[in-house]
Amino acid sequence: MYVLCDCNNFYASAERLFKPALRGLPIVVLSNNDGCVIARSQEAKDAGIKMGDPAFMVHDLIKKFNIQVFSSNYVLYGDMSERVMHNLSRWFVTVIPYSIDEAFGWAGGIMNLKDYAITARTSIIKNTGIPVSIGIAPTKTLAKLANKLSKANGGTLVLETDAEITAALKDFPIEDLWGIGRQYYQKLSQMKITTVAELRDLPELWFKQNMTVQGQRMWNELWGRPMLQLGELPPTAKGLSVTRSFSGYVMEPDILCEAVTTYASRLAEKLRNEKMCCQFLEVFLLTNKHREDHPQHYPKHVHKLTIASNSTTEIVSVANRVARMLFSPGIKYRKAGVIATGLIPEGDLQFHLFKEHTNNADQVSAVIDKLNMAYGRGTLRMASEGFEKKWKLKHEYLSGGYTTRWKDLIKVR
Amino acid sequence: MIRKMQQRPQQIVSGFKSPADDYLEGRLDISEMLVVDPHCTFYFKMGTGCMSGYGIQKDALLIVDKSLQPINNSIVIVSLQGELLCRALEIESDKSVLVCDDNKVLANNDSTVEIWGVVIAVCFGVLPKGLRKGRYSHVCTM
Repeated sequence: MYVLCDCNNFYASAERLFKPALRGLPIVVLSNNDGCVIARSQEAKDAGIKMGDPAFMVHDLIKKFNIQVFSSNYVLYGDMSERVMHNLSRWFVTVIPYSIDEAFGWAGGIMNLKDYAITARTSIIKNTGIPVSIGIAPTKTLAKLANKLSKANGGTLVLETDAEITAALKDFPIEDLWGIGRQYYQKLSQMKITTVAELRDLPELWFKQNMTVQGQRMWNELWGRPMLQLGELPPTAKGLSVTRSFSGYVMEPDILCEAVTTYASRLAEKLRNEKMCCQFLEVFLLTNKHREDHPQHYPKHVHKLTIASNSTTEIVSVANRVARMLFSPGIKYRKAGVIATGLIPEGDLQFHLFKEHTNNADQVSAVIDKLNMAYGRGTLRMASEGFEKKWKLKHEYLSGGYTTRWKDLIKVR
Repeated sequence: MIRKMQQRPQQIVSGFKSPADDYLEGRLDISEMLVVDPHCTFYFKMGTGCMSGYGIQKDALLIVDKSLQPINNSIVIVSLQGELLCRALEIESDKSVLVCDDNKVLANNDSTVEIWGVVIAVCFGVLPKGLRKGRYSHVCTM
């Protein structure tokens, strides 16, 4: 049996956990740079705030309903997610996170699964303070569906028998089914198919002819025959990137280079985390495409490193050089990014025939990692990152790192 | 800041091999004493002196385990009318009371009172001001 556990309104729940005064009040969380709404509490959903609404457009609603606004605090969400996943893995073997607030798991050899699911859910909620829902079914697709239905069923739903599955599918709308995109939804609505039960009653041949192999798998999964494996880990990344928008427009090369340095050193850190080196480094700049009155410029350049590297000094200096080259005066840049491609494991480095390879740079990086690990990210960094960080993302409504930073601990009375 | 001690790289012995080598145990680590379940542990700072009577000074670090079920006389973090408080919980046969040095509040089972977690230990720095500098400046100060 497959398990799908997901956190209810995760970001809003995490914010509310440390600010109990917000209980019952609508909450929205904004994307990086406070651009648009990326998470809502139930109350905010009810107030009519939509996912992806730009912040400035829902300003009136926010005022009217006294909606509490937060910048996305990934430091907090990341740690809370980690806690939920860990607690989940105490109840189900093989927990594979699917996103920051969802994980699949395996529930095999458990007697009385329905009570077990309730006990597991209660314990996870108590230990982490984050409300979760659990769906359990013979396949991943059905587990996902059971999870959706569990929210109106006290938070858990176990579909064990054929009768239970059939009953669950009866009124389940196809647009909520995992694997049905907009295109298939339109196609199926034209055929007057609106529930998953009707979809499942179509012959397998129909799926073969009208959908890809994915559709055929889905059909089998709906009949309780697992087609999707649990343990398939996502393939190792082919490329890594750090891209971010600026808070305003950047028009000076020095400020641009500060931002690019910061992104590049974060990228180098990511590479070392994955124990990978990159052979190619791409830097790109973007202007605001929504402003037709601004001159537009989307330059990018891929640089081939002589020897693949993941050292901060090397990657930062290359990225900086490229960024300066791409920059053109009089253009208002809105966003920049650094992408590492051609990744190879650290151990498989090819050295250069005529160039001496020293590991000085690697030693510097190792010291940077060690110090930042002990004293917090950014303790030791490249001076070219600058100190003012005028370009830095807007985080006007950021809450604290209540579980990760000593200075952010909450004072109780 | 409690951080894992780093092992010194294995020494190359030039003279005699240490007779203690077979008995190495790893030095004591304070987090083993203070934290039982790191995945369910949270930290708070005591903002007032209202629990001094229970040995919790202002500015003390509270170690809070969310997985425990509080019983009579537990020190708890409780959310009362939207505010997080540190209080002693006294459970009598039919009611529970939140107690601090200054007052007692009846904890009705309505939705405005919710036990957040149980305080399992309290840390308090005792360095005088003159010694609170350099790398000692943040001993138990948040």
